[in-house]
Amino acid sequence: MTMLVLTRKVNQSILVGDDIRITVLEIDGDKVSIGIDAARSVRIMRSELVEETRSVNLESVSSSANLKNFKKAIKDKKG
Amino acid sequence: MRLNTLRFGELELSEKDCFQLTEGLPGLEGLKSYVLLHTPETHPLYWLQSTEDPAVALPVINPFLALPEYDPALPETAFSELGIGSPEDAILLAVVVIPEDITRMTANLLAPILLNARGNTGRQVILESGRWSLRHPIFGAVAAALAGGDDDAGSDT
Repeated sequence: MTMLVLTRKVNQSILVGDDIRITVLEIDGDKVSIGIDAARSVRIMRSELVEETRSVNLESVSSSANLKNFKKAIKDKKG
Repeated sequence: MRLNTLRFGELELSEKDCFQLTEGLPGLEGLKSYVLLHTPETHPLYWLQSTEDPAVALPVINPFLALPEYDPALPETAFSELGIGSPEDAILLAVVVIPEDITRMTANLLAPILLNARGNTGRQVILESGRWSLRHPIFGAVAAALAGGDDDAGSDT
């Protein structure tokens, strides 16, 4: 997928479709504050949190719980 | 319907026991249908078992057991999208990771799974708040729940 690259100054916006406006609010060193105007039904997420949730879900599936020993293992470790 | 599972063997289930997660879970996007299982052996954990892949089952926990002060402030849209009309129909679960060293067991409080008990729908909601950890340690809470006789098998106190 090709990425569209646009240069914006503080307070300038980008429109995505008809209903989403993304505005650069503030730039401070390597941090950029971005404002997003969109309908509440539009889901906006920090992409690294989606990536981390994906990792956690996959680790969860490979959990090494031995069903028979689960309670005993917990009680033993608790000591 | 008969369901074959890797961890729990063969189970007899009804279609209405299945939750449809139409978006799948991040990392498991291809799997859309799950059942919620409980076995006394791994209480207080529950399991989200895929009905499409016998090998896929995620241990989950009631997030309020993992952290009593948990306050996820779920967006209103999460409820409306799933058709949850009343709070009693909402089931909230946190995905658990059980590593080799069981004392390092964690729950994902940042991305709880919300199920509609009445409509049999659900999805994983990634919260905006930076307050909640993706890897909140739960060994203490699980051990306390077991020691406290919080057990479906009845009271042993």
